[in-house]
Amino acid sequence: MTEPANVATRPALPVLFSVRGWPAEVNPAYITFIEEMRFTGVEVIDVYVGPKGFKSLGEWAGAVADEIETRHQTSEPLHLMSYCLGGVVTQVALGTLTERGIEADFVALIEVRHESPSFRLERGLDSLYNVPWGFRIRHQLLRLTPPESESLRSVLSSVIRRSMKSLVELPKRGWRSHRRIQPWIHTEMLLSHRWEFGALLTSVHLYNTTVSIEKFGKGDPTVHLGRYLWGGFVIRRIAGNHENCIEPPYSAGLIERINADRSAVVAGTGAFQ
Amino acid sequence: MIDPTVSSPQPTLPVLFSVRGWSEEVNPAYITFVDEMRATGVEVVDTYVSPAGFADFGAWAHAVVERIDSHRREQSPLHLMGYCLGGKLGVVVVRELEDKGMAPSYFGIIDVYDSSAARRLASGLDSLYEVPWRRRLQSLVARMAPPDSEEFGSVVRSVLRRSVRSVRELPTRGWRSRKRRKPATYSELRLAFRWGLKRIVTPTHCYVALEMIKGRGEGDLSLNMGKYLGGGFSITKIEGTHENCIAPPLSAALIERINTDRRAVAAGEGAFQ
Repeated sequence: MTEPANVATRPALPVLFSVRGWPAEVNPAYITFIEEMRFTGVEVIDVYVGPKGFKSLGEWAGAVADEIETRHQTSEPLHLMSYCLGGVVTQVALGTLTERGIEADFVALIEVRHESPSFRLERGLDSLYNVPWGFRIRHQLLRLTPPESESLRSVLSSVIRRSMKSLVELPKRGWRSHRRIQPWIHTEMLLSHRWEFGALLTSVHLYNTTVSIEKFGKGDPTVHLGRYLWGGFVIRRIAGNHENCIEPPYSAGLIERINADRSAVVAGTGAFQ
Repeated sequence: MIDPTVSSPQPTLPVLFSVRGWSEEVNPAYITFVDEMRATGVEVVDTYVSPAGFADFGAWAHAVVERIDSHRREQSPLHLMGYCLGGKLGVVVVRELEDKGMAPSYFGIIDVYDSSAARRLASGLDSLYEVPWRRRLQSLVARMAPPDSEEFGSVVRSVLRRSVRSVRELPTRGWRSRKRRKPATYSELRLAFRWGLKRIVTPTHCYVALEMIKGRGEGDLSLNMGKYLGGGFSITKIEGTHENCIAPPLSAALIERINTDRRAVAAGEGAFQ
């Protein structure tokens, strides 16, 4: 029999709430990742609220916050984790939870990224997701401000270039081509692209792959998320790419890292103590 | 005699380079703070280059980098620290060191803040420090971009309010009143205000006085510095005000905290390892 005094060298971890943005059909790998994490002896609650019926990301995230609040035992520290779109939902849900007086002690965002305004423009994402014009303009204005401080000429020329491209493609593609819409992810993408994010005061652990940092971050290791993280953040570079970082063999290292960070938070030796 | 095989329980800390922005006459408290830090057994090199003769903040920072280079021991990890204006100068120094592939392994900034665009306008700081119009416009644009997303009308109203006030004060104060200039700090602040900080990717330890968060932070725990700290940042709230947080008795806890963070970095256990 195990002597109770000799049990585990690391402190017991609180329940981890995993906020999921995609249904199991779209991203089965994350479900397997959660299972793999449970296998290490930690308790994970999978929080998934479908996006259907919500008018905005704020409403959707509000429902996620409700779900967390219902299932969370208030006596326990709140630990949250999410991947990809789930992180975007969590970002908004955290604001809602803070407004309700609930603070998360640990937040892990795995491969969560915001698209840069120039990327959105180049790919025509604002048009695809019907983003209101006011937001499109404000988003492009971001490029003019520090630390990017792009010149007005460069911003204007990229807008003109994109407009010309759209005009050239108009006869072939038509206005707001439905062929570009991917039905299984469109609702989620529409909600997230149309949302104007506010600043977050909760400190966050970011787990990003070097591939994503180089491909989408263009020198920003937070992949354009840092601007919103006013409460501090740490970046852990993880192995693999956006898709396979949560799959074996890379997932083992990531799970170990998340468990270590959570243990540090529980022991009061984490980054944000 | 000490047995050399018995190692010290604390790893030996590398030399700490303290980047100072203010002269001794303007801020004698920081000199005392550095001495107090030395009394704890750590080696601190006070790096001060006078701002006189530099065309811009970048040129001043470059001179600081050269000074650090001349004092630095080869192959020893670089630890950097700055307070107030010295911390802001430190950010530019770190950016140059990153470009050279010599990023510090520890970077700490004590109560460093970036005045918000609204404050710069309301207090007439841009006019006082002769900030170029392009940069002033950038500041206004930044207020409309996320995460602040201030309304266009609100920004325009604040500009009009400030303009009306300036016109009213013109007969009594004159154009760019020299009465508002403080000769002891003018050169340094003029260089700092006219410079556009760029993003650094070195993880940063921010030590922020509680009073400053309430006063200057305007909800941003990083005191508006977060957007430049792309490599992640932790926030340690420290006791006191901007002025007395580095003076006894409050300085003791701050020094202990900095030494602890540096030891963790040296041992490879820090927040950002």
